[in-house]
Amino acid sequence: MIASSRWPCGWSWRWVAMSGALLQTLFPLYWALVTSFRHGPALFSTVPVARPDFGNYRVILSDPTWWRYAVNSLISASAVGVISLVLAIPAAYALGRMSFRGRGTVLALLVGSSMLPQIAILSGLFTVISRLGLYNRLGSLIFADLFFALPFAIWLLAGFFRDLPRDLDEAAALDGCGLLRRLVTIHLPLVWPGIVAAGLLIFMNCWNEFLFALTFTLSDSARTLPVSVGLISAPSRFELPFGMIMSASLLATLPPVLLVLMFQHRMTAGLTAGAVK
Amino acid sequence: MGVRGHLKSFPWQPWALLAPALITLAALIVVPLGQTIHLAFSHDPHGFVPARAGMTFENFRILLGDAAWWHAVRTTSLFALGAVLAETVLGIALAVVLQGFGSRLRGVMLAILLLPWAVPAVVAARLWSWMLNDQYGVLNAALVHAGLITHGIAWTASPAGMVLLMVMIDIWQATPFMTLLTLAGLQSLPLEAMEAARLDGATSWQCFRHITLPLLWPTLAVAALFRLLDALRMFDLSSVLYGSDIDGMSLSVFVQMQIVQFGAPGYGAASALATLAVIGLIVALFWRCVSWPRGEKA
Repeated sequence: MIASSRWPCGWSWRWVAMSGALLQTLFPLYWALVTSFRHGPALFSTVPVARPDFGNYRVILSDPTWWRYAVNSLISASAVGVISLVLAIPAAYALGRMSFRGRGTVLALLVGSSMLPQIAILSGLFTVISRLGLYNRLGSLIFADLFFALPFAIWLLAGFFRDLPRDLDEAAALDGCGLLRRLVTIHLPLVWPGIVAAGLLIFMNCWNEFLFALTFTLSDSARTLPVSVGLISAPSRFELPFGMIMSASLLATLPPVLLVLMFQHRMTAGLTAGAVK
Repeated sequence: MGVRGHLKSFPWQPWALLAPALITLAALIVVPLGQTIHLAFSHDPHGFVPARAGMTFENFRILLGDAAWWHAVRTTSLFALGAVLAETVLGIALAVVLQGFGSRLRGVMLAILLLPWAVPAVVAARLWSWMLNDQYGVLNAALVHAGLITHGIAWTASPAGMVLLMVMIDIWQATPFMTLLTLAGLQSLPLEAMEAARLDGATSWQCFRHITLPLLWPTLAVAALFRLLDALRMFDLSSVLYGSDIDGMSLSVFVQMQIVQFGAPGYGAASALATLAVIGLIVALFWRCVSWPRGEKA
């Protein structure tokens, strides 16, 4: 604000820079949309507009296996969101609002585990999942995704719990309110924004997850959308179905993009809180 | 103080609340990580010959001489450092630009800028490789149309081009994240210092360089660290764009291929541990570099 009020020409360069950034952001998505309306030789046209033709979308949406992938993505992402929140809320409450020996150690371990790359546990997890009989089932994915979802949820929510005023506990304790009642009736409604943010961010990450989904599923029955988009390949070297790939890509992108457009403030609040705290 | 005393007499309470989450994490991390370490020192089965028993350093010995592995180390570190550096610089620039707009306009623009961040990396890889297709890509067509080139460039024909494409896609997806965090940092800065400097006749650049940047540095360093950790374990882009092509393979793809495609869990586990070591080394070096100027200024 200070800079722009001092510089009379401040507005123009801001607008130039911003337009460039917006163009770079939107063009790949726009080009995917244009391509998704095309098929046959029109695919190789580089005219930047196309008449909306939903043929590719119709083909994909009338294919039951595609719906299967979408339902798989929906089930696994929602299940991971719900399970990690159920496990994380009590843990985050303990870490955010109680002082006890070992609290620092637990927090440090959580940060450490969120720094681990997925491949560090991949071969071990492969054996564990096979032994549990979960291989090539949706359960394997839900179990594996908790690896990154759970530490993230605990970390984020512990920050939200910690920032509630201290008097809250004292007043509740004086009223003879038990721990669980205090958590459910007093604290939960107050950390609701944090819970929503954590749930949405986890849902989005699991929806987009590729490594575990590719490794632990083999057949259509448990495959998720990103994997199916990643695995579409050419029937022959000279015939890549780009119109189809772009339609499937955009359909797979729709849920996370809609979430960001609808809940931008909640999600960004969660992101910045998670990074700054 | 009353609460603390009250809680201290019931030390089981926090642990009871933590137990379900900690047990789940133990099953997810401790057991598989232990298994990975054990596998790394075990023999792999070869064809129909079952694995030999006993401990071995064979996997690590082979890994050290594996050219594909060293290539993946180079690809991954080039990708991660290039992407994080570019994203940090662009993120700061965009945040400064955004800060000049009114809050409502800023919210709308931020929502648009955040869209690529929500796109699955698999989809981003598909989008960009189509735009950069050497024969039918829109980028080549635009360049030919503008008269800058006469025929399409095969962007991913060289290993350098392959890494550059991944860096570009990552910039597209992750710059909004850096912008968002920088913006949050900018808004929490004290305005007094800047006002004072301005009254003393400091230029915008001087203000930014000597007040804003040092104050922002700790936030930026942590944000960049998280981006770096993320970039060093990148799997999706490399896997979707280049499959099993050694020239564009990241460390995560290398490890996953050993385990899944080649059925070599021991060798895969050893390369996973070595990947951890590479990541640890790069992150430690990075942290030394970004902590130093902060200590100097403080």
